[in-house]
Amino acid sequence: MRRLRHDRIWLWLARALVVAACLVPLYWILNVSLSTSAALYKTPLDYFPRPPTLENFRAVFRANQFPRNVLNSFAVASLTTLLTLALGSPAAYALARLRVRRKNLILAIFLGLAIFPAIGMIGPLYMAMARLGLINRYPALVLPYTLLSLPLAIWILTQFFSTLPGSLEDAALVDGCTPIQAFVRVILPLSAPGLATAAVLIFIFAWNEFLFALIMTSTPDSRTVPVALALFAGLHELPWGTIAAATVVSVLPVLALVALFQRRIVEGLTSGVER
Amino acid sequence: MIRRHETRLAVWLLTPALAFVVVLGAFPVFSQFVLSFTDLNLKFPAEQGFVGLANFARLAGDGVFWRDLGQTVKFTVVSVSLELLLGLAIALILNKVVRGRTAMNSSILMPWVLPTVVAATMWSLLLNDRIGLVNSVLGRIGLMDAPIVWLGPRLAMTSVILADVWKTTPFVAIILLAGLKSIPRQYYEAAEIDGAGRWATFRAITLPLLKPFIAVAVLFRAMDAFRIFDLIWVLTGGASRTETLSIYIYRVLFRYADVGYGSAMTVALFAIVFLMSLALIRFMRLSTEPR
Repeated sequence: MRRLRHDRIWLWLARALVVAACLVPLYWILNVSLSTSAALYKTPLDYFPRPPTLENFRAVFRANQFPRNVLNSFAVASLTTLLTLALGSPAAYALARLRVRRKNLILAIFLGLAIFPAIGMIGPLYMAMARLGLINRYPALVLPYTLLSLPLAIWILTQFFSTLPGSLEDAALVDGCTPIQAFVRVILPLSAPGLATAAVLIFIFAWNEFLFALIMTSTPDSRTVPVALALFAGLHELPWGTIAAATVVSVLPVLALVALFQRRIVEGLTSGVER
Repeated sequence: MIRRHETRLAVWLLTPALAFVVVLGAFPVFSQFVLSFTDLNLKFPAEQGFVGLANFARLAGDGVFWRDLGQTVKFTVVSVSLELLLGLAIALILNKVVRGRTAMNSSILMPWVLPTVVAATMWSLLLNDRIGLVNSVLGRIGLMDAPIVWLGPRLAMTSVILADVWKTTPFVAIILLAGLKSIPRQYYEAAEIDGAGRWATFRAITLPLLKPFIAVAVLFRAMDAFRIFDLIWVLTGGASRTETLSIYIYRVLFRYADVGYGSAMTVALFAIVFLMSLALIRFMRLSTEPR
């Protein structure tokens, strides 16, 4: 009995340690973003903002195009999510529930794409986008992001569709639906949880992507948040408070997604691993 | 009748995604392979031509390539091993949490969903030798005499690995947690009745049943770690012996505009990642087959 209680205390201590390890660095960014720059160079350091100031956040939204960058990130991530789901869900449905010839070849194409180094695709895609006059515009990011997130989306959705009972389409067909209607009117609405899972992961990927965003955009107005942030940091004698404030702003959307969809994200990450 | 109908519908449903992938994806992949046999350099576009395997021969004799390959392997092996060990520990610790599971899952997901650039910026602030939290804490508890230069030549690789471990261990932990949850309770009850100790139970039940999950986590992590770019680019820019292959390729392609050589390196990197995944998949098949 004593041993059990002992164990429990250790277990909770370990859990607290894990949570602290994850959150303390994030807290530190928040702390720096709310501190004056004088406070940052004090020795010994203060571990909480004294006095707290919003000056850094004001600087972020006053200086340069940061609000514009946030807007760009939102637009690119949302459009990528929509396009990927529009292309991916019919394909996943076919792979999960219909008789498809050369299914393995098709899967191999999607998966092979997933392991090709992104750095190698950028050059040719850059030239293609430049020729189409799309550099610095949303499609130059949305199209490659869709390409990169399709394998994952198809993977998650295929797993999800195959868990639905097989009698669903039969019932729909008996009721006079065409097969395509069965998919659109019966399967898709029932798949809302799977679609949400895929959507959250795609959105996070697109919000966070850096390499393509760095190369496909060249004007401050067209940059997304990660690139703006990286170049911001490299620009001048590091205004740490402002960088921290920009960082806080840029992580709020993904942190909100985690808080709201924590279960979905876990499901998405582990789909296909569980059998 | 129905069967033919079904196949036709499947073709209609698959065509948009496949067409998209082939037009947008196959074209760059294919052109990398073709370009790797040329000496195209965008600084001297007039002089390009077919050079056969010359780029690959140059690769074989390129000291920077081999140095960066070594550094990439080091980064991958060390960080993925640490992530696996820590991820397993965290999964075991978090398994069977009843109260506060949502809060705990959310907090361990946070590092993973952060943009890598943000995580890197954050760590360069935390590890800053003058105003960083890490040095401040170490100094205050008396573990440090002089400020440690975390991102300097001696410790840069360690710091980069530390940041990667912080960011991606949650991914491993989540996968392994799902694995732990999939192990039937009865096995543990049976082990307890047999009087097996904890270590024996872990060795005989948990670890073997967790193997497929470990394999998946390691596969995904190793593939990503081998192609790492943004974390290192922001933290060190590739200085202090932290340059990886992706960063070298970036330099060759976008700074020197040496498209032919850069493409050959891309193809080499692809081949390495491909072979590595095949080996890992084979290994996990072998190790999960019932004996």
